[in-house]
Amino acid sequence: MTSVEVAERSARFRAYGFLFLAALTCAVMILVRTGRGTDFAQGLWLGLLVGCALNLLPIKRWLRPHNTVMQLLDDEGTRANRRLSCTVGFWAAVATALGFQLAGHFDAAITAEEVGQLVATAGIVCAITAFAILELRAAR
Amino acid sequence: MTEHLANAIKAERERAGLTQAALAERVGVSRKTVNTVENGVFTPSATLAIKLARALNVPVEQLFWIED
Repeated sequence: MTSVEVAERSARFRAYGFLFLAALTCAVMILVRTGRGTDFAQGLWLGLLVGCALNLLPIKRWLRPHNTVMQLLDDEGTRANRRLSCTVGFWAAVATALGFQLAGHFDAAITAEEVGQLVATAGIVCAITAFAILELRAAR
Repeated sequence: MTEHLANAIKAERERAGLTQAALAERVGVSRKTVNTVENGVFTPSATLAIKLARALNVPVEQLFWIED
């Protein structure tokens, strides 16, 4: 198997993994927000969110800069997809924050913790989902 | 006026008897990057455009041109 084929398989696995991570993060956040969440669920949500955010960085490439497969997993096309997905995440976070700002006008009882949790989740989950979709579309 | 970077990668690649994966291997990028450039989804950098032209043994202006 050539390095291009190995990178292709790894990229596909990474994209499906990101979709799973995004879904799991949303599910845990819903669990926390509906009041069924324990301290463990809160910690799990935070851990998943940080994990998702770190996955948006080319950490493996930084750790193994001379590895051919790692270079292929972070080539020009992937970097463009990463940039675009971070932009999507930024606008999702802004839109969520503005939504809360509007909701504040109608006396909605929203705590700062809820706002922070939902804005962070929207930004990161949208970014990681966009990255996975762009990668899967590119690999068609 | 919308300008669009058109390319002849598919035709030149097939003329050279290469698959997308083989061309990607020659250029040092992933197959999906070759695929997105070939389909006009992604505009490559000047470096990648020159590498693709070299790998296909054609001048870069024969491989890429601007379409209005």
